[in-house]
Amino acid sequence: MLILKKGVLFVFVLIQSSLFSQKSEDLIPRNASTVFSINNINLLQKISIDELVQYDFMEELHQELFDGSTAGKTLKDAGLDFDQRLNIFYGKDNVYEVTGFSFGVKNKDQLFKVFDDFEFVETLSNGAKRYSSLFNSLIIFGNSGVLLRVQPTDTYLVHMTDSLNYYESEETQWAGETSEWIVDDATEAAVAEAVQEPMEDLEEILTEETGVFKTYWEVRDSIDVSMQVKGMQGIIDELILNKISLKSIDQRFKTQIEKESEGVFFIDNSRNFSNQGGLWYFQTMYPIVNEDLKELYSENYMTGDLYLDSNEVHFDVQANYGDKLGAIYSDMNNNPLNKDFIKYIPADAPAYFIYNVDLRKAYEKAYEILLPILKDKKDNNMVMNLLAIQLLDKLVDKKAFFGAYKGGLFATFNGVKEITTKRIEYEYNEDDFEYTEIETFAQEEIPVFTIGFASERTDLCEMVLSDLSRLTSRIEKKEGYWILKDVILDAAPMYVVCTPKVLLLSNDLSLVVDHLDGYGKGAISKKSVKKIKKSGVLYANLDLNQSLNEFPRAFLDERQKNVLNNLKTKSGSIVLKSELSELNKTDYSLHYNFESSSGKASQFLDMINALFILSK
Amino acid sequence: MRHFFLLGLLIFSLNSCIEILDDISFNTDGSGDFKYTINLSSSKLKINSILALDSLDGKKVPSKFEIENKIGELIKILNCQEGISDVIISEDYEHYIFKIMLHFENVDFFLTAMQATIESTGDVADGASFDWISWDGRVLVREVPDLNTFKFGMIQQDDQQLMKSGMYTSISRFNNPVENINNPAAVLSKNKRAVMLRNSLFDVFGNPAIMENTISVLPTEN
Repeated sequence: MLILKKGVLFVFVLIQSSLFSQKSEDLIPRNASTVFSINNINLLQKISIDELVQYDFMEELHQELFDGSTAGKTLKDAGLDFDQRLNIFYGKDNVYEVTGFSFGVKNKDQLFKVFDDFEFVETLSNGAKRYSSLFNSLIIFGNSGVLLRVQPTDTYLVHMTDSLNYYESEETQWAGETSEWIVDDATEAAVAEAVQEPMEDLEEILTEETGVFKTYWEVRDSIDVSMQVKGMQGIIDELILNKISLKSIDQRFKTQIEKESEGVFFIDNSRNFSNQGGLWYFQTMYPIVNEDLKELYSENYMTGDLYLDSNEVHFDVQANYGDKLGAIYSDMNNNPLNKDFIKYIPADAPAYFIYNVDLRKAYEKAYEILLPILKDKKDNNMVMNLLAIQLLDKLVDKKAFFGAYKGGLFATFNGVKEITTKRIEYEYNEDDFEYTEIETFAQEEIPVFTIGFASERTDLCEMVLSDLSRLTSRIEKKEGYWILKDVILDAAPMYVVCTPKVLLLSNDLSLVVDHLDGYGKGAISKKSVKKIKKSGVLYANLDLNQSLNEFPRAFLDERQKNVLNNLKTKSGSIVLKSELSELNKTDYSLHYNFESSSGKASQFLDMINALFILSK
Repeated sequence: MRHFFLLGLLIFSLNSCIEILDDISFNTDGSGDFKYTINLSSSKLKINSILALDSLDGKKVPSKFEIENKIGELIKILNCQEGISDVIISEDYEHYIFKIMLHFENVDFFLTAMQATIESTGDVADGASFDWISWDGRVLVREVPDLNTFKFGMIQQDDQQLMKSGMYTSISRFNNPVENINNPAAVLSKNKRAVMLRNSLFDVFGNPAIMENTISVLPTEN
């Protein structure tokens, strides 16, 4: 008897420990291809929750969590355990789209006071509780919870139901009455397979004998809902009952999520690639080749870590890929710095970036790697396309072509300048208030930019401008440069400078008047050049004080303007750079140095918020 | 690259503004002429920059061609209205000045035509009033359309700034001399046959009643 009691106790303890050792990161479904995780322990020690929930990325969760029914309440009220990570995830395959987030639960009563739209559904066999609202399911497992939303992709739904739609249209046109549908056997079977309803049930819906007539949209909605139920059940079975999560099956993600940095992200590009809607033609016409290209992307994923130091936020991103892609990237990205770029970047430029790629080297390597893959295929279209590609490769002068546009470029933001604009005002005659239009002039500020493209054939641009200038007086040759009048917003000129190595486009008059050969000692310092030389394909520098104040806010939405307004109160600088590309990865880093009276955690969250909003 | 370049170039100062000018002449027989001018020449940089984009705040930005087509449709609708003639719409895309001019046989025809035309655009809220003017040959009671009833929900903070520096000018003209004006902000011309009322566009948006005016004119001498 004692042995039996001990045995029961042991099993009980085992179940309890299994239940409560569960962490929020274990509740991310394997279908997720993008995960953003905030390590709450580090963050929330540094910032109040009330402040945290004001951020846009938390507000997004609020909307989802609170479903509009519990306005005014915060995550704090919701009994969340801020000692656990908060993980936001997204994934999509050919059939389903999965979104949601997982979190720690500290007080379940509080949780359901806030989540009052959720109703209890069932207790699963392992003790997890399932609740649901209109579109979401919430599963509480031990001290963690996951909110899930599963929907069939629109493409798949259309694919499954388009024949219904076709017949409905025909019927509607013919009868001119409220539509009824006819369904063929193939569609019926496909629909049944998609929703896995017993055929008899489907027949019951579909046959006229029931007297139930539904439009295409009603049937489609039914299929949509059935698929949601099926998809949700599949994920719950796998994630909660069988404990198969992204963390348990993907070592790369497991390594990433276990890092102690304040925030991490994980993007599996290999799955994102295969689900790209834009590739549908390729996927349809050349499915086998598509599989090969998928293989090319199979090891392609990105990981990122956000760190917070004393007065700096830094963001490390690693882009990982396989050897074949790596070979292309390495050739494209690892190039010596174009010295002609440097001399046209003034030392006092509030912002500049350099992108130093070599497209010819990338083309040559891609041709070398992709051609054998494609040559294996016997498909007629593919053979003809390959033939065309090979002929072009042999006939086109690649040196001339890639000499004209090498791919590398730089851009500088040189502050703002005033330009004179014309406006029309009315002059009223006091006798009878008749009026005449008079032209007046006003000063308006526009930003001053220079963009330079690496090119060894700037003579081609000279040739084009020379010919075009014979057609219009708006293009005029000056000493050492061309002026294109009123080309910027119909109000300001743009200058084109064709140097032997760089084609410059600018609206900076001082560049063409005083610095046609570069800024000389006024160009960026040797120290900066040294840093740029050490970096890889990308280097960007932004002085927050000078540049954000003049950012063109008119083209941002209200939320983005808010972010910018927040950042505008800060001072400091942002440096974004990449390391040299290796055969299997390229490292990028973003350093945000701030000088501000507000807390460093606030600065950190401002940065996350900015990234979140800008990536939306 | 296109967007990057535009973003860089598209900043504009907030001292640009919008000017609206409505000018209506009344004849003793009840007929009249209406001119409505929207002058955006001070916002030319902003408009050019917006037109260069495909979309803004998630909304599609119309091309010049689409704007021209829309205006063409408005002309057709106005020309079909009873009691309306000589419809001219002028579009100046160099300065962004848009004018509409028409002749009406009486005020009722005019108001009906305006209602039909505005409603056809779908840019007006349900229940909006189109009873802006009454004119019995001696007394004119007029107000300006409540711009808030139009679907201008897109007006945001920056645009409000544009309106603050913008002006709304309303001119009423008569064959006979004006006898009395009830809005103290209105100004009478030296020849006493025209009344002008000007206010900030922002104030007009906030309180359209500031443009209300009742003007009486002397009767015609036989």
